[in-house]
Amino acid sequence: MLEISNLSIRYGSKEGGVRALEGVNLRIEDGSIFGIVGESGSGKSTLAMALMRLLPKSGSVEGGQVLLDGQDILSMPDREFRKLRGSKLSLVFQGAMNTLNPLMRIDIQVAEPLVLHGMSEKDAALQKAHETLELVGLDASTWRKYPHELSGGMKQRTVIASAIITQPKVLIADEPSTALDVITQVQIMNLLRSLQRRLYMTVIFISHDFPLVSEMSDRIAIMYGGKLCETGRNDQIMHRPMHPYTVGLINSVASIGNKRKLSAIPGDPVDMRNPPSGCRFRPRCSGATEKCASYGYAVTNVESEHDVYCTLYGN
Amino acid sequence: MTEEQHFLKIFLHNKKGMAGLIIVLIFVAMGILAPYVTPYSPSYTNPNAFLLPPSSKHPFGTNVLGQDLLTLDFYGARISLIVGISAAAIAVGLGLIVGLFSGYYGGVIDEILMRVVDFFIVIPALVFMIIIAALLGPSTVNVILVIGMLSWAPTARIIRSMVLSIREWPFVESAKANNAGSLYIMFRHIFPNVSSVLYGNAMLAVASAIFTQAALVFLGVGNVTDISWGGIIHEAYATGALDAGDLSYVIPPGFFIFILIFGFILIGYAVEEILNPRLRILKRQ
Repeated sequence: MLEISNLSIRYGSKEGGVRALEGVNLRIEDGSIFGIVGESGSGKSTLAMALMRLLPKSGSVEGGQVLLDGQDILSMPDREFRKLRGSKLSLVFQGAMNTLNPLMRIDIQVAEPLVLHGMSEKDAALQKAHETLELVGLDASTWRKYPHELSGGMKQRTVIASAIITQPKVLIADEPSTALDVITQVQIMNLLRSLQRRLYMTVIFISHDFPLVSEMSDRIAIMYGGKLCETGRNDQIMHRPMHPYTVGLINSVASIGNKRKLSAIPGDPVDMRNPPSGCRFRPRCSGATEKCASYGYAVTNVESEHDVYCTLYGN
Repeated sequence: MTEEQHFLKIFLHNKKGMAGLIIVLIFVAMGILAPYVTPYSPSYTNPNAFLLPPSSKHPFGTNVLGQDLLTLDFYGARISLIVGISAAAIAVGLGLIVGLFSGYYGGVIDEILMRVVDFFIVIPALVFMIIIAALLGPSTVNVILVIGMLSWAPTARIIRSMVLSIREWPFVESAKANNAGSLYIMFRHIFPNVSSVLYGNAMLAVASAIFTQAALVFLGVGNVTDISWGGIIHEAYATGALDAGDLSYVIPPGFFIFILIFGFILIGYAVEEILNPRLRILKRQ
């Protein structure tokens, strides 16, 4: 169980900085796929980096807790956390295709986490790397190749192999399929899902691609401007979206064969240096009222497991 | 085909590199085989045959002590190669380490290390070497240390500038997520990505160290009892043979220094060309 409570992250100084994440509360059950959707700058990647404790130097945790099986991973000493990072908690990076060292054979790179955690000797690690590469669908002819010899999809599989080789409990996949063509994207998604079942991992799947997230996830959280809008089970979010932003997102998704007119959400993404008072979505929201300007982001539980952060429902 | 075989195959087709390699190998053979191919012993002196002009018995003539100059010129290759390669190894090793730390850590560490580099780039190295070598006393090891310690700065600066860009590549962050420590990232991930420049640079450093060693010995610093090309030229100068127009005394060692340096520079260019495929593509167009 991964419990994120009241997490706030800031980039830069108290005066001039940006609050990239504010008061985020999530409960992520073991063995589930949890999707996080949001547009650029909504804080999705910041959340991923904060969970890995890999925020850039300018980033700092202002408050909140992240409990992994009851252990607070944000406040534990660095040395303790390093035992978890890359072993119990793995990350597949955004633009993962560039996360391979161009001068290192892929099987050696995949074996790296095992060696770095002292989990096995070099030869055994390499053996395990070959098994893992096989598992993600790369056959023996590719094991000793260099990244530039592989296609985008193959590189993505390699990156996934390196993330799962330690059999992590939690796998954070940050836009794992961006920059891949649609067919490859589907293959990678199917791979992630089958691996998730097979290894009983908790997958946190971060993307701006709403249809993809809804395809993959058991539960979904929608983020906007560093705050949560709505969280719930997949069917609740897809069939009974409550937050105006969620509704807008769903209506702006194109689907083949359906001649329904697409509607965009008017306005620009929130300026994080100078966010509006109250609800951050307020300037773009058609249902905004005066109440929204002083909204304090109280959560409303509209049905079991389905939470909305909006004045339309409660306070 | 392994990477080494692949490298060798490309290298063998590189004319510059092969020319350089052949030159260097000839000198290596000269140094190693000197006792077998030279007509005299280097310690053999003949007071009756000093400062002879070139003849069939002494192709390059003899020196003030009556030693055969051809023999000495052959033995001289040893010191040049040993000092050149060892001093360059120290310089490049130091430069690599300083460059990696400076570029990777940045901030205060970078600032301090780069000011040290500035100091070493700005000081007139040869003068400084003369002073230090004089203080340390004459020995080949001291010459190696002095040259090595005073010529790492340019390498450090080049490596640092490359590390500054490479450390921002996503694979470095990914290595961090895999729990790699700073040293591991620097040496396992970043080092291979700067090695193309480093190896080319190392060859140029050897060339420069050979020249510096000859210059130091010529100026009378270092071990004059070792047979070296710089030493032979120094002797020619000190004994007045140079003024007397005895060119066979100075031209062969001078020419050997020039050719050996040229050989290393050729290899340096070839290595950089091979390890940096972009340079190869540019040439083909």
